[in-house]
Amino acid sequence: MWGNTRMVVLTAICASLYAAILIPFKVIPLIPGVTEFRPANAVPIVCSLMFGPAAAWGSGFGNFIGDFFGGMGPGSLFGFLGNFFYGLIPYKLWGALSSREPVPRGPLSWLLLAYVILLSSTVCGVTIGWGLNLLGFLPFSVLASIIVTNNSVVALVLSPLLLRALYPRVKGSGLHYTDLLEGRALSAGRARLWGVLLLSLGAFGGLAWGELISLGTVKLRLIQELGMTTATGAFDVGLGMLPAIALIVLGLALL
Amino acid sequence: MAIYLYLDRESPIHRLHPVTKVSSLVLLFIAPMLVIHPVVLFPFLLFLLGVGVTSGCLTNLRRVWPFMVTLFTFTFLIWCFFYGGQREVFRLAGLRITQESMLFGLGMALRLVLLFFVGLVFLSTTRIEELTAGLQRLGLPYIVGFTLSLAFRLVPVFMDSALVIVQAQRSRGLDFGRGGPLQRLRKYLTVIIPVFMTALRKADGMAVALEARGFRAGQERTSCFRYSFSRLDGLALVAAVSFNVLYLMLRHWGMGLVG
Amino acid sequence: MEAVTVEDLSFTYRGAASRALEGIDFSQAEGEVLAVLGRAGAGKTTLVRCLNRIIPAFYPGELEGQICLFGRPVDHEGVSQLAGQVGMVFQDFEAQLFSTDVRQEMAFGLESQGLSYREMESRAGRALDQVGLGGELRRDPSTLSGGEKQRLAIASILALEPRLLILDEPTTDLDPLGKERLLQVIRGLRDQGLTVILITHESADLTGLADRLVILSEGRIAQQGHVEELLPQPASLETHGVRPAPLSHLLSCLGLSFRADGLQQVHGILEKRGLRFDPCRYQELLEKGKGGAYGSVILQVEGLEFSYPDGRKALGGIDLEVREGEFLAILGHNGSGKTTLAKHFNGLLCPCHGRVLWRGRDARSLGLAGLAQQVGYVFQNPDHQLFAATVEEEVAFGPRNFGLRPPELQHRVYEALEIMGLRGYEGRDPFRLTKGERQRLAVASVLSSHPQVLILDEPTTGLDYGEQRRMMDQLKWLNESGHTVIIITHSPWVIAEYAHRAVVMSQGRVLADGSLREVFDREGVLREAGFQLPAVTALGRRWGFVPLSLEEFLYCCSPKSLVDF
Repeated sequence: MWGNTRMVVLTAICASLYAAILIPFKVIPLIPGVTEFRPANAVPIVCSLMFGPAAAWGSGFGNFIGDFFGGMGPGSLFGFLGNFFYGLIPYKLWGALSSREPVPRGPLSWLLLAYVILLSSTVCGVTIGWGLNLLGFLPFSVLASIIVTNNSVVALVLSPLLLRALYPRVKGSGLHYTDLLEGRALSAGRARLWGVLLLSLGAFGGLAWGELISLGTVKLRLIQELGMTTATGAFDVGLGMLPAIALIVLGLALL
Repeated sequence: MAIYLYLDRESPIHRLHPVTKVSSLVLLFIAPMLVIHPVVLFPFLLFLLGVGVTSGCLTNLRRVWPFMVTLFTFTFLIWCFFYGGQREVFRLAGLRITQESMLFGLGMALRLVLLFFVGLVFLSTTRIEELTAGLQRLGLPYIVGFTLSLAFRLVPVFMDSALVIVQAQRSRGLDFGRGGPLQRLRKYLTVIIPVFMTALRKADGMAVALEARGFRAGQERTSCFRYSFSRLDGLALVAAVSFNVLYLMLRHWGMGLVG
Repeated sequence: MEAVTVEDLSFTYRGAASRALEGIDFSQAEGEVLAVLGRAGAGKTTLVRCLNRIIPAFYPGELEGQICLFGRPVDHEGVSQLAGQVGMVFQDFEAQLFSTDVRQEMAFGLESQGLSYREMESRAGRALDQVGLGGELRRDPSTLSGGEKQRLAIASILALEPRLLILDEPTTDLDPLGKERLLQVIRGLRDQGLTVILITHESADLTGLADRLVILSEGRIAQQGHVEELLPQPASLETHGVRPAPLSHLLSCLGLSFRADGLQQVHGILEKRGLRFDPCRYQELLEKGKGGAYGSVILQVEGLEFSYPDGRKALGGIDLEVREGEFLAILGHNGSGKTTLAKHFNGLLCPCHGRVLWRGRDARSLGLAGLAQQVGYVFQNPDHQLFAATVEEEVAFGPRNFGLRPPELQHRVYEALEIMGLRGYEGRDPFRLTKGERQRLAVASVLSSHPQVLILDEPTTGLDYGEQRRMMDQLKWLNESGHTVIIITHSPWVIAEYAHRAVVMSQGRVLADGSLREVFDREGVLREAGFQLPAVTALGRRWGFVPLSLEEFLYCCSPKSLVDF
């Protein structure tokens, strides 16, 4: 990926497009200093399905550049990570589930795209929610659900239209990642299936599990015994969610 | 379009080595995370103000103060109501505000504003290339740093073209202010698609131009930057480290926390 | 020694049906300036990209034939290895600058060659001096003008000390001043002995610059030879989509064919040969021109002042009237306020002081929606407005926004496409059209809303000569069929041959406003606005008249009076 000059340029383009659309909306915060209404969040999904890994790095960088305009802090690290996943998952998942073009035409491809969007948004929300709760900034329950909702609603509305407009043109101009990166074989069929399964479990399970811990419905005895309970629930969520994060990472590795 | 916060000044802070800047940034991000008591955090605020004055970057506060005030108020109120605590001050529609929650809210609000302030000082005194140079000396591969700085350069280019496109579509009768939220969201497509397509048209040209300049000659790269460490760098690092040590010690002695 | 020898070169892009280049043979001696001419799509860029191996390394396809640079075949060289030998500069200056200050831009290529700090410093300094940007090391490239950006791009290549410099349409996107400055730089490089290949479609730039020409047509060499030999053949240049250099063209029309470098020289020659100006014929011309009576005042601007939100003053007190049926050209430096003024005409911007009147009504009361429907605005870069999946949808977008529904909508779309010569393109993807077609589509997509006034910002920039003519002829037709047309342009011949009236702007003020001949007679004002008269007009003024085209010049001078030696 870094060895291909076009991919390098596309990474920079994805990042700057994402940031350029993010920044004007920084003035409409949902949670001051943490997140805002982000119509730009369809960009990583669309870019991912067209530019593959370039979009993963591009989304991470783009979000980081956006952080320069309100809210660069320790949380930026998790913002990078969450958005990296957000741009990484769509193309991997689509490639694992379908061999057709990611332009929604029939009901099946609509459903598939919706699943890709939901799963990517959830992983993004879980990662950032976990990270910022670990830092003690915000409860997981508030942030994760805002991110998941924001990302999936915006992406569900915009990305089918964007894909229809952009995908054929990208494919036609030879900038699709499969045309640029040769020899990128997908993992074996079975591993791929496991990957999808583990990723889904980690994401949706993680979201539910995180909500339960964060709302105090589930109390982790280990944390209490260690005397690490705090008002922000930093360690309850931070440590309690490690299994979910591990599942996500493992799932991605298998995809 | 000038969108970044960087201020081109000659100050001791501006002259710091990129590695010092990046490391201090990380260290100063950690320090206020260690304690929460507003009184303990106060010296950190004074320190930052001092740095701000030295570097002449307080003018940027004019651009961001509304944001900082919102951040402070919002955080304070949230934690006032949700922290809990024993010594009740008053009760409002079932929500209790206690002395502890107020103190914690104040601390948390101060912490977030301080973190924001640290970022602000960094961005006002550090060029993009210093950021990437610093990261590269700390182990980031050249090509990744290059990509990041290229992205920084392109943001204003695309924002400018987005502004022109908005005008072009408005002259063709598109009213961005009309319609429900979903409809409005869809109207952004008439902007996003041309921005995208102009970017794509550039992509090939940029890649060719990079190649034509011997982007991948294979030799070991040299650098046009000659940064050197000075006594000031030592001083900056000592200051950044000592806040961490101080706060860790306070924490160890059970101070600096609330409740 | 030969710097470049190309033998029987052919190339087919992967997946393409036909060859992009076929049987190309030419050679270039060291220290020569070779110009490659031809219409858009003739294969000029493809040809030079073969020289530094971008083709086939970067654009795969089938390459045949032999290329030698400085006596060595390049078959086995990589693009990066050649980067030190062959430098290349492109039309789009935005896409070849990568850094946030001039210093790093200069160092970028040098760093990857592993040069020492000291070496970099001296090379960067030398190259910047060569292009006239010495001492600008700390500048942010985004604060430079287009011309300066292009010169910076050249400097960053020169620092690599290439033996061959390839310039791919470097002047196309520049204003006249930037262009002149750039040509000066290239002349300087030639004088220092650098071998240069220059792609252009302006043959006027080549007098006193190029040694030899190669004219491409549909991937083949149509003609090649010395400048003295090819430039004075206007007819053959024109068939290959190249605008003939006006002075050479004039001389050849007068039956004189020899090399003439500048106005001074041509003037001297014609004077010596006793060219006579015929005032009666000129009077005839003036009488004929008076016929065009315009309608009532359609747009009016009173005491217009405008400042941007950051406080920069863009317009300082402008009064202007536009009558129905006029063909108006606004000219001036970049940043003189031309575009800002034009954006007031259709309500995109609202005046800080003063007012804009549409048929006597304050534009404010009409709002953007009301005014934009009457006053169509075509933006400079067509890519800044095309978004739809098909040409038809694109053209229907405007009228649909203004509330039109089928079948009237359908009718409007076809009509606009017809006018702009795009019938049959309905289902095509706008993204894949050529630049010329996209520009015409942009006009069609504004035309379909039936505006009474049409404003076009730089309608001919980036188009080749044939496309420029076509675009302007279509605008002329529109004007003759009742539209009021306002163009903002830098192109002297476009103004001279098409506009009726010119408004000259500088620093947010109107310097001159009047009929074309009046304005073209005010040299001082034009100089202040950085505008260069078309060569033929400038020549005519030496005899005391203002011809707007070659035909007019010839009409007013009796060629028979020429003395044969």
